[in-house]
Amino acid sequence: MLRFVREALVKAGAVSPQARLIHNVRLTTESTLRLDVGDGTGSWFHVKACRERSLAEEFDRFRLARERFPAYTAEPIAHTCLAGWSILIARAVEHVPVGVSDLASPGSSGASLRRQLIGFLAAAQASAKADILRQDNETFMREAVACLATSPAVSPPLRDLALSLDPTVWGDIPAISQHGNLVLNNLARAGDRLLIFDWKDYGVTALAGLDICLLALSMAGMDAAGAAAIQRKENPAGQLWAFAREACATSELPYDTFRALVPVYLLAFRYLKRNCSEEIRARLDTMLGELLT
Amino acid sequence: MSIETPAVGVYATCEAQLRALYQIPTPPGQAAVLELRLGDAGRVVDDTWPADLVVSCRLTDTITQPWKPAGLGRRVQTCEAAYDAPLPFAADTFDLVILHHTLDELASVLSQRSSQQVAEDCLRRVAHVLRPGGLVVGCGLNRSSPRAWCERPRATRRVRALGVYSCRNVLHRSGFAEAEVFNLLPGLDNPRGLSSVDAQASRITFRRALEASRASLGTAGYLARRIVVGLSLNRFIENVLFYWGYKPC
Repeated sequence: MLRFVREALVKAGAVSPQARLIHNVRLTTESTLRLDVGDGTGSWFHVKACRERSLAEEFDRFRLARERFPAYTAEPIAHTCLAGWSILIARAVEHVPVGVSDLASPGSSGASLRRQLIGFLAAAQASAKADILRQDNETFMREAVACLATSPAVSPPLRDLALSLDPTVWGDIPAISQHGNLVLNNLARAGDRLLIFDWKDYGVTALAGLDICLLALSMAGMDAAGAAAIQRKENPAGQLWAFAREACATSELPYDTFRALVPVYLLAFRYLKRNCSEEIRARLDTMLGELLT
Repeated sequence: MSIETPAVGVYATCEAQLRALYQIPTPPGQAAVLELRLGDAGRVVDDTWPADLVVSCRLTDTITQPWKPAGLGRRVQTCEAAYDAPLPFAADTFDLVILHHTLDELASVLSQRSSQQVAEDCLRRVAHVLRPGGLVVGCGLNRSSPRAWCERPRATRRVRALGVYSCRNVLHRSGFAEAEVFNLLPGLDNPRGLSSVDAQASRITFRRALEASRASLGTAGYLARRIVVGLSLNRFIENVLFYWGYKPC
């Protein structure tokens, strides 16, 4: 498999055929291999390899995100298929993970991260005007509801929620292409710069507020108690997810509407995660089940 | 409408993770695989391993099940070979040889000689049965790791294993090229990743891990670990090394 990675890097012009490569390898829970590959001269590449599915669409979404948010994304380099492996290559950026305390910190570094986060949401909002490819919210939610209502893998309370939703609820939500998995794990710092990873679901939905909800929820603990607290607090000031009010304003989404839509966002997220591992789906089902009772 | 099709968790179990890691450097179209072991059963290959010939060979002092070349018509075979004698296979037979903790277990048995000498002798025998371009892959305790000291055999006072530098040197001295050595992370119970023992690569891996756990650490604990990471010392502390090398064509 490493031979294919080398071949892909050489084919993309990223390394010379004679380069002595250094590898760090990680297996993910979703049947994907992630490699950091160094060429020995200080250049590093992030390689994602998968035999179970094609990463071609993910590469296209990644490239689109890079075009729209160059300051927040790594540089996608190439996608190639070799001997049944789908291989995606990006330039690696040395980074450290962003934690709750980093993003909620009252200090200047926390303020800088929050400012950049709002900047990202503003850029997403600005790009929405010219985004002719963006997903229609009604179509997306109709598909989500139909899928969740008929899937045997979905828990009964969640199915009931999907069927009981009033379709007019999402009619007035602004349409802004969403990252789709904007949780803390996908944020990082490179020096003072905020980086956002994992663009495989970018633009799948344009349900404005979904990204804000997911980030707020992952800061609040990614559980039903956190979701309930986000729904309950009229003013998030002083909470870990205090950024959410300004973020909603940036997306032209009233904060009260955002709070009321939390179950809809979770339902949409569950739909986006329909092909993920059973563990992730079960965790989401539990969270939604607890939120509904 | 999309149908719910959960991703197959091919790396879900410890066994699957281990097999995936052993297959990472493997060239395509592997025809013959050999696992050398000291225990009763093989721990990596079984009858589902994707190869035309799978041999699980136990190294022992008393051979009761010798290798029978006539059995080559069977895809999966087991046999025994002497600890310290040439392997009973024809030269250039295998494309991949797996040594899952074989070198340190062998060094514990052959305790009169140094771990490096035992490993070098074993790897030379392995090189003989590998085809040109073939690959040896294995793992073992990290000699310099404090945790490896806890896991050393009770009968011996020293860790009978290779270290970060000696592992690569022994592979080269035994005739293997493109040798790479890694820390196996987080451990054998849940092997999810390989981090190169190259200083810069090691710093990248462990700095990321440290920053991810920063919230659970006090200031002193964080700063101490930061120094350890900055000096690339984690590679000497992690208790399992994973390695591979190619037999030159």
